[in-house]
Parts: sequence; C-alpha cells; structure tokens
Amino acid sequence: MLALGPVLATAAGVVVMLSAEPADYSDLVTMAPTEVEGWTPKQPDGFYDGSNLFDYINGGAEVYRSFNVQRVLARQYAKPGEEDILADIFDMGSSQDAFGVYHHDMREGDSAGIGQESEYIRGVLSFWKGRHFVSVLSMDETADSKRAVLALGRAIAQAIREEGPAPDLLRLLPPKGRLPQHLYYFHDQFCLNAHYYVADENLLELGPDTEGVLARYRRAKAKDGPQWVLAVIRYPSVAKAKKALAGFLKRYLPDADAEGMAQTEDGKWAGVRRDGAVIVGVFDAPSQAEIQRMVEEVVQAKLCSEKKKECKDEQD
Amino acid sequence: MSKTDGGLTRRDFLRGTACVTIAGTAALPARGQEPAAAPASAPTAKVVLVRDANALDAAGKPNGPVIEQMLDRAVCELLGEQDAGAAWKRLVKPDDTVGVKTNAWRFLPTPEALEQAIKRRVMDAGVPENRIAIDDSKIRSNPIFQQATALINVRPMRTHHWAGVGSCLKNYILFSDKPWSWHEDSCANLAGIWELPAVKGKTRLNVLVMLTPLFHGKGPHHFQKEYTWEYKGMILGTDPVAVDATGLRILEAKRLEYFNEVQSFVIPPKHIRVAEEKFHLGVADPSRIDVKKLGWQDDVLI
Repeated sequence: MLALGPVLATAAGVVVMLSAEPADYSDLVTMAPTEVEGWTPKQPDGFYDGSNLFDYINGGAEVYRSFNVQRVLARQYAKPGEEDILADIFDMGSSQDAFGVYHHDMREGDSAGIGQESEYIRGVLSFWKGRHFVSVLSMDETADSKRAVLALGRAIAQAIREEGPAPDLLRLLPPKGRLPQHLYYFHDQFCLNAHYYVADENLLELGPDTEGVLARYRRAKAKDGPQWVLAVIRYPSVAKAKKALAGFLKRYLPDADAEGMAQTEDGKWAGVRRDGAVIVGVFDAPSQAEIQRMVEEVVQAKLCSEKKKECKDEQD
Repeated sequence: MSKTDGGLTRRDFLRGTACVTIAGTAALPARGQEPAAAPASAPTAKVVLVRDANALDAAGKPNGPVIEQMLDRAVCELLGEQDAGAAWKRLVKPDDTVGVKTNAWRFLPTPEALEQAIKRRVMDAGVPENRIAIDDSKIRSNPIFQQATALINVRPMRTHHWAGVGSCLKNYILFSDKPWSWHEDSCANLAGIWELPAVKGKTRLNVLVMLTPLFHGKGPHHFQKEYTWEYKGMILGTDPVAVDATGLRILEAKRLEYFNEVQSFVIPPKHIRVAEEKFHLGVADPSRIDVKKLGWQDDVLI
C-alpha cells in the first residue's frame, strides 16, 4: 500500500514521490496539493478504508467506522527546519456523516472560514465539506506552519466541489440556550455514550439505521448554571421507535410517571417521549417543567418541519 | 432498584452501586456524590511528584541534566535514601536483566534523555549494559524483555481514545499477544495484563512523565499541542495504580482550569479504579495515596 510510485515535478520544480495509489483514490489524491508554502510530500501517501484504518490511527478509527468511513488519504508534508504537517482527507460517504465525524469532537475553537464548518486551534485545522472531513495537523504552530496549514486546507476545500446538507434532525433542536460547542450527531451506542453515557447495554436500540442528535443546554443566565442534555433520535419506523422506548422505560426509567419522567438519584430529572418515529430524551434537567418545555419545543419543530415538507410535496 | 440486567446504567453510577465513576474521579463529586470513606485497614500507597521549572529548555524540549536530577531526587524520596546510587541498588540487582518499557508514540514519546538517565542508573547499580533494553513496540520479540527479571515502566501521561488516559497501566498492553482484546469496555481490565507471566511481579519502578501532558484529545490523531501544557513534572512510584490515579487527578484539574467546567473524558478512564477494586494491583483512591511533592510548586494543581 505504501510502495513508491511515480516521480512528479511540482510547479516549483521540486521533485516529489507519490505512491501508486489505487485507482479509486485518485479523486482524493488530486485534492491534496503537491506543494504548499514550501512543504512537499515526505513519503508515499497512505490509503485506508474502514477495514484497515486502525493501522493508521489505532483506536481512533472506531469513531470513523461508526460514521461509515469509505476511504482515507493520508499525506505527510515536510519542509526543512519546520515540523511536519499531516493532511488527512476522509471520504465519509455522506455529508451527514462528514458533519457527524467533525462534530464528534467538542468544537470550541475559532472558525477558519474553510469548508462548510471549520475550526483552527494552534496548528490544527479541521473542517467538513460535502461528504468529506479533513484534518490538517502541524506538530506545533509557527507563523509559517499556520500559513501552510490554512493554505492546505483552502486548497483541499476548493478541490471538493460539492457542498452537502447537515443532518436534518438539527432543525428539531431548540436554539434557546444551546451550547454551540456541544453539538453531536450519532448513529450508534458507541458514539452516544461518548457524549453522554447512558448505559453499557444498547437500551435505545441504536444502530446503523438510526440517527440522533445530542446537544447541551444552559438556559439559566448564570454562566455556571445547570446544564442539561437533549437527545433526538429518529428510527426507521414507528414500530422500532415504540419498541426502543418501551425497552428504555423499562430498563432505565422504570419509575417514570405517565409522561415518561422521573427524578434521578442526583436530584435532577430525566424524561423521554415518542412522537412518530422520533424519540426525544431530556437528561439532567433541573425540573419536570423544563423537560416538558423542551420536549414540546422539539415536537413543535418536528410538526413544523413535516408541514413544510407536505407543502413542498403539494407544490411539486 | 437494583442494577439492570445485562449491564450498568448511568443511574447505577448515580446510586453508587457501581464501583467506578462515569467519567473520571472528579465527575461524581461534581454530581453531588461523595466517595465512601475507606476502611481503616484499606491499603495505602506513596508516590513522588517531582517538578522543576527548568525541566524544559527555551524551545520546550526536555532538559537532560535537569531531568536526571529530578529522577535522582524522586527515587531517593520514594525509597527513603540519601543517595541515588543506594536507592537504585534497592530497585535492581546486578544479576537482574532489565527491560525499560518506554513509549514511542510519535506525538508525545518518552523523552530519550529520561530513558538514558534510567539506563545509566541501572548500570550504576551493577547491571551490565548488555542486559538492559529500552523498547516499546518490539518488547515481545526483544530477547532482553523475554528474559527480563526486572521492568522499569516509563511513559508520558495523555488522554487516550480507548482507555480515557494512557498512563503506566496502559503502557504494558503490548506485552499481550492480542492487545486489542483488552480494549473492551473502555479498557476496563487493563490491569489484567499485569498478571501475564512476562510482567507479573517484575516491575520495580513506574515513572509517569508529566513534562507536557496531553489533557484533551481531538481529531484522528488525538493530539493537538494546544491541549498540552508545560507541567514540568514526573510521578514516580512502585504502585502503578497510585501513580496513574495521581496523574489522572492532575489531568482532571487541568481540564477544569482550561474548560472552566467539569468536562468529562470522552472515554471514562475507569481502568484505574478497576485495577484496585477487581485486580488489587494497587491503590486508586486519592485519599489513600501519600503524594510527596518535590521541587517547583507553582500551579501544581493538586
């Protein structure tokens, strides 16, 4: 996989060697420039998919596999006297999963204005655009390396021609009080638990055919006021949602009242409610009233979203 | 209400019916749960936290002579000796074969200066150079490690995408012929590795490098310089669980300082508590760990 390949000459006259990439990676190979700010590829590119990504990033691969990673191009750039730069382009198969893998990490940094969403923190650029998630990492930040990292990112983003939609479930999240750095998308139990541990067992019957969004909220004015968690999960059918809810209530909230709410052992409140094929869960809430309010806001947003769809269908 | 059939839930942790925390030792007190007082007969442990403001040079690289001095001071304190040579002679004997298990992770490796300082001290204690090896990924095929009668465990502290934190307990995973088999349940059973024949009873010293610890990880490589800081320290002990538990407290404190809120580890580092409560390998409860602090005390965090 990492065998030496053709020798190429860059526009700057620098000779670089690239590996003989498999044919179906050629689009990714052309996205990554062969020279930027004096950095050139140091060694043959790495090509990975879901089956061998562990070879490259060890346990970190599990997250990308959870989001259906299709192909990965890994290119390492070097420049004399400077730290190396690693550029990784992940083809996630869909823009929703590119969004998901980008938002698997808390995003508290500043936007770099690259791709559809981006973050730059001290030498590390992350962004998603279309079905691609991109990470460009320099070991440390210098003025030169920052310029190179951002230029690399811009070049890759420009080479990704199409944008794509974020998960439509995001529209169901109430904006009021949402903490922007804590916004997550997930399919399975592994990723849900990474953001909010619920249980060892897959009580919500999550899997590749479910999708969920999770956000953290703080509606009190005080900066250190209570935070709580909202999860909205869509199942492939109403029947599956009904079954998941019944199981969750039985195993996690057996003491829930008729509205699916219970006070947990830390004095906070948790509640779940189903609306069609969607389950809305609120955790760590300060009161029953807050759960009711938040669930109602989600249900209203869902209704609105469905009505819009109906209107659009009628127009079609 | 009892534990759910088939696995633990968040509510089990909140009830205190589970033996480990959800997201590190800081998480439960933050949720209003105080840890139960340990019985008087519970085991205790001693670790040494040594720091030096000059442990890194102006470029942030390890300062070899200073690190060697830190190592000597800490080993003397740990063993109650005045002289480093005498202390090391209590750790290794001239007829030992010594494997120094290091860590070569590209983003935050064990500093070579520290590896070499350890090697010098082992040689000073009478072990010939040809019976000392420093290795990481090839330990299972390294003849010195295969014949080792003594191990020195040395690696940097960092967050880890499967174990919550990568520290001394985790550093032995490559002694297993199936490292991936320890990944289940956030690597909860990592201490089981310490019962393997190649390891059991051989570790004489654990050194958790806290020069530039990684307190948060992001992205495919789980590394960003932003989430390291110049703590300029090392934690030493003969009890790997106590060493790791102390390092974890420092990471948790740093995360609280940086994020200005309790920021749970994405993967809970539960293996440290499991190491005590299931495998009885050492002491994880901070209230039973005597932390001797040496040297620079600014922003010590614990």
